[in-house]
Amino acid sequence: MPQEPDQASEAARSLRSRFDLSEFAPVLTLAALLVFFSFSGKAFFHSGTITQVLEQGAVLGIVSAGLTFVLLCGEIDLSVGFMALWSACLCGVLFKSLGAVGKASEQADPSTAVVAIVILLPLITAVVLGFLSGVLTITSRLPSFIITLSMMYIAYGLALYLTKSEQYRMPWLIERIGNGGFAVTRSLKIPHSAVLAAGILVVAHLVLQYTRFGRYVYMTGGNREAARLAGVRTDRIVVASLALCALTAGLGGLVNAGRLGSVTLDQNADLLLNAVACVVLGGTSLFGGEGGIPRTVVGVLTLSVLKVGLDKINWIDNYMRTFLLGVVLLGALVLNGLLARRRKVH
Amino acid sequence: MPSASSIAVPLLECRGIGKRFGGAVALQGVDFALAAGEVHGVVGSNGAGKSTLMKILAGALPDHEGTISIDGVSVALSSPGAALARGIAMVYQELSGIGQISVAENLFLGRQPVTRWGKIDWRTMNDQARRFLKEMEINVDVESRLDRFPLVTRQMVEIARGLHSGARVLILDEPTSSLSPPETRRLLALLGQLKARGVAIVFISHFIEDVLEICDRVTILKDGRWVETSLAANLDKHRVIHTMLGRGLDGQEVGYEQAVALPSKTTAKPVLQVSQLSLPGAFHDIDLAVAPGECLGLYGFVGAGHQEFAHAVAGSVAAAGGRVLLDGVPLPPGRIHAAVKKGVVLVAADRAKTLVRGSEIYKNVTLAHLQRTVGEWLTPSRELAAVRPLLDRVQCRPPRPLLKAGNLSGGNQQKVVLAKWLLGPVKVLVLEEPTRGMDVGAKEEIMRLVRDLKNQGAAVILASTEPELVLAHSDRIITFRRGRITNEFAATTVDKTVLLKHA
Repeated sequence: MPQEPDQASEAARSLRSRFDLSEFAPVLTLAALLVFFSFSGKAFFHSGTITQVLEQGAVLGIVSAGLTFVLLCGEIDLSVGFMALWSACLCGVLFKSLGAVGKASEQADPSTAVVAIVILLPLITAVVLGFLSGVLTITSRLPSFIITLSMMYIAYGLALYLTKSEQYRMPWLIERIGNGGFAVTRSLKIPHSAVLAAGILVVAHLVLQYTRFGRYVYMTGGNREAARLAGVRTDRIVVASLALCALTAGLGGLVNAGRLGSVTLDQNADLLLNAVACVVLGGTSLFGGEGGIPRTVVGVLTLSVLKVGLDKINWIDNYMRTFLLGVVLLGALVLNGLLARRRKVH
Repeated sequence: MPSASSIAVPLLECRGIGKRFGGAVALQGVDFALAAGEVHGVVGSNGAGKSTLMKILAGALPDHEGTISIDGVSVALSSPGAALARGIAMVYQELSGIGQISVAENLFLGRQPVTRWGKIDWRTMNDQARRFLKEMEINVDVESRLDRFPLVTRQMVEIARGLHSGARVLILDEPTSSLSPPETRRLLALLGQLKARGVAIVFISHFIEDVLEICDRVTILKDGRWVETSLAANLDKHRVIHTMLGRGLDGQEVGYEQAVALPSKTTAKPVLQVSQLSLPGAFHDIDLAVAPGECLGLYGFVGAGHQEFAHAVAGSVAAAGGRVLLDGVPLPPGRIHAAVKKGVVLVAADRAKTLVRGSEIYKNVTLAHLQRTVGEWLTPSRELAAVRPLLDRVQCRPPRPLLKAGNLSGGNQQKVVLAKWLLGPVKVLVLEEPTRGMDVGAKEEIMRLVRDLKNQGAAVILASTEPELVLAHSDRIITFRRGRITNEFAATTVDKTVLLKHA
């Protein structure tokens, strides 16, 4: 017979777990970085830095939102970087050809319908490719690692074929989202891209926390067989997560190209690794079932602060910055990982 | 032929073998002797200590009590490697070689002949393997991958591997449990041949017929103690079973030794009908029906197919042939979602597969019927309102829905699994080993919940390898053996002995 729980010790244990250090380790990492950079020099301690961090973080935030779903259900999507590139390329090519057809002169504004098509079609193709990744992952019973690795090449190959390595302009709307912002003070500007990212992250959070689909994502990642035996169609959850992830990746690609004014094949090369790093840095498990959007936000901010902060320390050799970024990232991930494991032991 | 009393010099002799796991005594004061050229059967019901004894002999449990001697010399079997070096090889029930490499490579695993240059000498290896297997009359292409062959061949190759590495004592754990009758014949023929060559074989099995057929002597264990060792010629199945189950040390009858009177078959219209359901390698042509308010017990040994059958009925695995009808309407095979919606639900044996241990109790409970109980917008307060009364009803301790499910004891975890189904309609409740590994109190609480559901009109299918459980809770019992139904017990008295005879 299982003994009656000792009420006092139960309460103490739950109290301890509520204030568990490991839960807050990602936040503490972020805080530590902020403190460090603030003392490292005057350049960082400036309201313009906030704008830079938000600009840096917006694309990452959009892409990480979808990737969080995939990691939560215990899968991975390696194609996000090139999925982003593909949809930006398609957007650029469509904009050029449709814009030319719609109006005689390229200088004139294209119609709203054209802009809508030019933006929506790339996103739809991304969703279709993500859906395909999901269906193939489920039917082949191969790890999504392998399927999305192949999908990564397919997306890159399509982009390469479509653009023939040429540069394409982005529609005005995309450029506005990428570059524009709401000025708060003279130096502080909230970028449109950050507002978009915030909106997407909020929706993703609501879906994960308050809808059946969100719950199924967590349970599929927590124990796929248990979810399946409870009647959850776990296959569909995986497919939907991968399709969603492709959608946010495509959107991220558009925003990034807008920020840079045009799309070229060298964009988004490090987007995949940065996005995975963000999600995991926030404390979402690579094995599924644990984590969430708030953690992803912390991860995105951490990585963005780290990048901006390192750039602001002028006594660092330019060629050392990437190395230092790697070292700090590694340290933070290992520390968070160790703390998370300590929590499991309790 | 060795006799029970006089064995000149036993090849292997154990004296006073004992082993404790924590406070529980797994073995105590067991004597066991094995002669060259002898096949020695070891039988006993679940928990009698067969596996523990064999693990000690295989060197897997070095910290035991008692002494083991080989050829009259006392030895310490400190590791599987040490046991192998003394010529003791174990062939496990599950482990049958490495499928992805050739038969010859399996035979030579870890001892491949090499050329002067350190390269594997394939020709020598294949030639030797061919010759060796031919001597044992195992006819296979040694260069083919092992997984091309049926289980019996793989087992025979595994046995050959043991001998080829120089074993004089072979320990076989349930070698025939997953084999068809003709395959069993082949394996027993091989064992007869090895015996003639002077190999000593320990044969552990639930299948008393196989034991009596091939063994010279049989040792019967019960509750971790030695009961008797007799010449197989002097035993019959009924006597063996009676001795296995017989009186406990305190003279008390154990379990359901007395017969249980089953009620007459219900006349109610069956809610679930199964016709000609088959899954190759698991069960064949199963026909049965179960009515509302009835508990149908399915009894068989591990590997008899009744557990896989339970999964197929609930749509957890897709049967290859046959149909499952619910109220006369066929259920799509392998579509567990459709089955759950219609109220055919499964409680699988392995709680690692039924519980999301890292998630809170309430999330586990609402998982199957989220829309029905919580609606479109999930909020903790709505979910907790649905879950709290349920945790009281199933007497989950502690009844704290925010606790992670993995922190509960085994019995309480199972209550959470059952509670999940109580939020929706249950027409047919399929249970696979619902109380495995639980203490008596938790068992009783789980089965009380099952009885409640049954009394509310659910049909219950109870698949188990524990005869006591099946006898205590079934209205009707069907026995499975090697994937087929061997008997149905209704409106009669039945006891454990009878059940075991038909399994």
